[in-house]
Amino acid sequence: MLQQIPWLVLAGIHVFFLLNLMENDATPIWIKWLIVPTIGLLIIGYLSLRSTKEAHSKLETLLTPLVMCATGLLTYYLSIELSLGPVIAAGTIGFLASYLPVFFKSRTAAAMPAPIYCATFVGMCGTYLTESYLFIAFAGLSASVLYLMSRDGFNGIGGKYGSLAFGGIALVALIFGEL
Amino acid sequence: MNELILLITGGVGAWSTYYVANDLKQGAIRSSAGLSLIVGLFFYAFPTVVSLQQAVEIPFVFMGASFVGMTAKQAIGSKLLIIIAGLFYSSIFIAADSIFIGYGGKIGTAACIAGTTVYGIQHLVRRVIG
Repeated sequence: MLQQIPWLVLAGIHVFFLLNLMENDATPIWIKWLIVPTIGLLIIGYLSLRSTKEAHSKLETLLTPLVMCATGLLTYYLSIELSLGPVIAAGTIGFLASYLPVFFKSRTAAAMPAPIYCATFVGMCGTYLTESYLFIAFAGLSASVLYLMSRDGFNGIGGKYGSLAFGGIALVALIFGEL
Repeated sequence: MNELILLITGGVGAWSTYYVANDLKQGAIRSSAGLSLIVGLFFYAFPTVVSLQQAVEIPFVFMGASFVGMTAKQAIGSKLLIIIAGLFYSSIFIAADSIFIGYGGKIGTAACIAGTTVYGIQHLVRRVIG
């Protein structure tokens, strides 16, 4: 059952996104027609991707929520307060984080770029959704739980981190009554 | 015209990230973040080279497409399929314009849906052909 968690988390996020797209009146009809076969192909994709079994240290597991929370807040600050915009803010932090394993040779440092890049997507939220740093902090924590639940699965397909960030934000938006 | 530019951006973003990550061996995160940063900085410094709407949308579409390009060579080995996934991502981006406004991770979700769908097609074709 534990091995099924990663793709179940991702599947839930993707189906939620696609159903909202389907319900939206502004969505072109040809896209709506594509959604049903897309869900079928997604299921084939989820089922054919194999989970990996990697050893994770306790330090890495404990650090991940803190790092993701802090990264989300920093990205949001750079994007909104310094008016750099979400792409430059997330790109800068992600680019710098990719060099962590070069400068620090520990296994924990080698594992950190992924959750950091994932958390930058949490910080890409716009003021249209929230102006609250508390919201971003909770979204970072929520995304970190999803990240820890699915870190051994669904590897190799791009967009996984963005999906987890989106899932974390949607959960907190639901709690904050913003959804 | 705007849609065509966004579609092309999706294909180019996915292919270039995949190329830098795999062929230039820079890794998926550095490739995606670095290329997105270059595109973001270009339109931040020269916002008038295109319309205001395009100066905002092109970096976003490129970054999302770069997530498609983060796909591992072992999962999708063909650059053509990566470009197709990039084009599919751009279509979702255009269609999802009015939902989840301001949500971080929205473009990543669209990228993951596009990448997994193309991966599913690849898997299905391999099973059928044998």
